[in-house]
Formats: sequence, C-alpha cells, structure tokens
Amino acid sequence: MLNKWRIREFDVAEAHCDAPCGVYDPAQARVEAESVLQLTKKILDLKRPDGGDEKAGAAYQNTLTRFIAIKEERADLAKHHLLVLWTDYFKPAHLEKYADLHDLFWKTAKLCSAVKQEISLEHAQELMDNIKRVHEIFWETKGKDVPWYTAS
Amino acid sequence: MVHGELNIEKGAEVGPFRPLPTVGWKERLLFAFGRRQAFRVEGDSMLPGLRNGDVVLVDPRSAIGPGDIVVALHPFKKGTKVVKRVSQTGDDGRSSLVGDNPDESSDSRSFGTVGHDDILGKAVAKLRSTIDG
Repeated sequence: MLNKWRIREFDVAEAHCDAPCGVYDPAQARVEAESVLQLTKKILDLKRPDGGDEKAGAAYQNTLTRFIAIKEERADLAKHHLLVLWTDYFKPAHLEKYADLHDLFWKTAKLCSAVKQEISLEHAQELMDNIKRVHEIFWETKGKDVPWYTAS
Repeated sequence: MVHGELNIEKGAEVGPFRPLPTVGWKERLLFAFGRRQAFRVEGDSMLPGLRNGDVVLVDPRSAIGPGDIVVALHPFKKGTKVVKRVSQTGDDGRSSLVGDNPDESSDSRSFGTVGHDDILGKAVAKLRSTIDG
C-alpha cells in the first residue's frame, strides 16, 4: 500500500533556512547617522552670499540643496539598517535579556525621521548615542568585545 | 554566523543524533489504519538524516522529548509546518527546535520556542525520496 503513496500530495514539512547570509553589523547605521550629523553641521555653517552675485547665489543654492538631499537620503538609510537589525537579527531570547530593546529601536527609528526633517544637532547627536547603545547590545549578544568608533 | 548565538550548538543538548529507521511493515500498517501522518520534507536543514523529498511518518500520540524529530506548526507563519529536532523542553512545556544542519536551518534560534499544542507529532520512520534520487 505504501508503494502507491502519491508523495507529491503529502503535506510539506519545511526544513528550510530563511537567513540568506546572517551577516549584520550596526556599523552600517552608524556611518549613515554620522553623515547626517556632519551634514547638519554643514547646513548650519553654510553662509549665504552677500549682494546680488548671481553665480555665488546659484552656487549657494546648489550646495545647500545637495546637503539637504544627501542628509535626507542618509537618514533614510540609517533607518533602513536599524530596521533590518531590529526585525531580522534580534531574536526573542535577546528581548528577554534586553527588556528595553523594542523601545530603543522604536525611538532610534523615530530619531531618523526627526533628523531627516529638521536641522537639529541635538537630535543628530542623540541618534548617534542611540546607535552606540545598539552597537553595545549587538556585540554583547555576539560575545565579542568590539569598541565603538566613528569615522569622522 | 548568525547561527549558534543562543548557545544552542549542534548536538549540545540532544546528544548523538538518532537516525530515523526506514519505514517497515509495522509502520505501513499503522499508516494504513490512520495512526501515522505522512509529510514530505522540503529543504536541507535536517541533513544528513533527512533529505529534500524524503517522507516522514509522524505519530501524533507519541510523547515528545529532547532528541526527537518532530513536525510542528511554525509559530509565526500560519499554515507552515516545519520538521526539526527537539533540543530541549522547558518546564513550561515549550520546546526548542533546531535543525540537524544548523547552517541551513531557521529554527528556535530565530522563531523562539514552540508550544506543546503546536507540535503535530514525533517522526518515527522515514522513506527515502524517490523524486530526487
């Protein structure tokens, strides 16, 4: 009777792997957040040209627009990398150990939105501080002592 | 790299893997009388014991313990069933499931423990795939 099993019709029990590579590092979010911090500084420091020099005016507009565009892009990327860590890397057991993990990620993702909309040095620095905390928790879960550093 | 982070290592709690016997006449009979459920294995997370395309016979009435291969409902993906090995069972009756081939397995290391009610049964025998050779 078993020889006549129609195997293809049986229910499937998956023996799969969802993780494509398993390589994660909060450094990705840190680099983007650092860019946001630097661009915020640059926007605040940028001097509007005096007088009616059209060329200087155009150059100013161009530079300012580029700073803003890149700041927005980097803020989005920082949020993206944080969400990947939050939803793909961290596991239920990590949450048991780090009870504030959801809150940390939620607030950090919100800071990414804030630094995109505003030109706030305070929020940009706060974002860096939060990512530093993510870095500490992440490497603790890996059992590795990886010191925090910044590129700028 | 992501695997093994929760210190569930291959064989750490489950001891030497017990290979499933091949389906014999007794299991065939029990299947015929509806006492066994058949599932088709899809994927490589239970290598080398179970290959893609193998069939496992599951006893829904058997007690479950560490070292047993089980078919369970995925805690987050509705309707998805997984075949894994029980690595440990907690006092709360929830079990950790891990693939025999951890590098190719999504299991309790990512989806957490599985409740007793979501374990459909213990795999008691296998039939080698005739589809994939």
